[in-house]
Amino acid sequence: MAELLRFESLFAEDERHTILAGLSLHVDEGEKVVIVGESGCGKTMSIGALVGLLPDDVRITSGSVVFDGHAVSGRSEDSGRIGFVPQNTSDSLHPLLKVSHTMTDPYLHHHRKESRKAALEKALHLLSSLGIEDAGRVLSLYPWQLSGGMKQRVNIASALMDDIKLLVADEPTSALDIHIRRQIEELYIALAENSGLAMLIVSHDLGFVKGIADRIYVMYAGRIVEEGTCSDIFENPVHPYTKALIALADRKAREKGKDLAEIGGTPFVLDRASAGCTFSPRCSSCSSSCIGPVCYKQISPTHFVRCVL
Amino acid sequence: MSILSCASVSKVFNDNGFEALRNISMEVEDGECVGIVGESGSGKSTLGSILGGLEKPTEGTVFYRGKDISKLKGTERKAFRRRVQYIFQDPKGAMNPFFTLARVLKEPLAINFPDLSDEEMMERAADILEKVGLPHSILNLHPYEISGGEAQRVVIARALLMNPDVIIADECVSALDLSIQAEVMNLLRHIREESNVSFLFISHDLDLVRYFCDRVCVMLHGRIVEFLQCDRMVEDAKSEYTRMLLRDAYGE
Repeated sequence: MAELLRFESLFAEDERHTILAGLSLHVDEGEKVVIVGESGCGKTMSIGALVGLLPDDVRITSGSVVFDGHAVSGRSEDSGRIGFVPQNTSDSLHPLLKVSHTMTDPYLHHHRKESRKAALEKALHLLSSLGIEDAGRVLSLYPWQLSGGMKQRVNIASALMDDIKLLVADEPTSALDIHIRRQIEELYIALAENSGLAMLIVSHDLGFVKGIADRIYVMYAGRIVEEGTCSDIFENPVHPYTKALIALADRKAREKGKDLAEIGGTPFVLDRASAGCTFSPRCSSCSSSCIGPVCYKQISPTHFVRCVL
Repeated sequence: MSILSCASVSKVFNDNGFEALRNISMEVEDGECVGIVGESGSGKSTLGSILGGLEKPTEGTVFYRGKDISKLKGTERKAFRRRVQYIFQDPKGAMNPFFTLARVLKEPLAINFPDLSDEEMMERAADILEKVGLPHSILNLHPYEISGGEAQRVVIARALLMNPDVIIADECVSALDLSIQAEVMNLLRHIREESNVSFLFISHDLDLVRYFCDRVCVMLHGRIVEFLQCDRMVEDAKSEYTRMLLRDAYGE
């Protein structure tokens, strides 16, 4: 399938730290790709580089992001073709705008010939398709009148207003309680199955990842340490970090009266250039060979890993 | 005798007349760990803050060691405040952002143990940091300079400094990454093993409650749906709501 999005050895830094250290990944048309990793590994920053929402003090020092054949530089033509659902859904809705305006204003900005009425009909249709029964009433509400799950649906619907090719979602379910979380997860999975949209999702909920991903990237300290199809990663994980993440999420292994599995150590802070493996200080199978440079090895046609072991 | 309990507690918020809790009675036994689960808005946090004395119930009574907490006066009231400690979901929001962590830890000591010298307070603060697995060097930092997991440990350390009988933990790990979540849960479990402190563990993560608690109280719309023993949750669950929570947590 044709390639839709590519990050090519992207480096980014702020005043104190390196944030992205040679991030490379790609998403094909219609493909569902998930980035997993802990807080602080650079997941949200890589999304920021794509949708033009990097904090002011973060700058890209080298590398490129190419979407649909063009370098991404915050062009408005791109913004109509990438739908974005941010992490903090409450803060992303304008508190003084009704849902109807939140949903239709950006759309009308991109489609100046469309009427407000047609845009509202589209919004109504989208909200209904996302399982909101009284969509007409929801359109007339303000964000503070919505529940968490409802806000999440409004955000997804807003992202789908335009004729997008790629849906980007940053931790779409992490702020929700468990029952609503399952509903939103099902919504994303249904969308993935029925729409043909490409998706790039950041998540640390491995259960959800398993249900939706075609391919998975495992990110640590600003770069990819392992990539593969869903079965490569879950059935045949190679990198010790990937194995540790899977062990953490294994609820069946939680035994009363025994310690939970933990990774130990603290996530790596990239304040200096490092040739060796950045995970080695926390790695249980670390050896002397881990100090040297690590290349990105191919294990199978779809499965790659950055580990010397 | 139960260490913390409430009888027929209801809570109506005056500003909008919303009935957050209706006729709740429950108790936490000495050394016991009771979980409260339910969806957002079910009244878990309101119940926690009423049991911890942070909010007053509209009706009903809260008892600490058999005494009505609204009638506690003077040293008894101070003892209740000291012995029932709270750990919040957002640890950084629970610290004064202008304080160094040394001052964050010393402030409650200075209030509750006015006879301690500054050196003694620093000594206690350093000891407790060791217990929660943080380096002493962290004392000179401000809350914004540490990670979320470290901040939650500082808040736990601050609670432990008061030598509590009961710790009320309100969604204390739900904002943390799984790896940090595991570290904090292991820390709490070790605290339980080493001391006889009771816990009221509020969470929407039914599996975590099953792992950590002895009993669980399932709440929905401000009422108690049922009480279950954690190790017999699946077998004993009667209500459809609890079964739904179990399905969400474990699949079909």
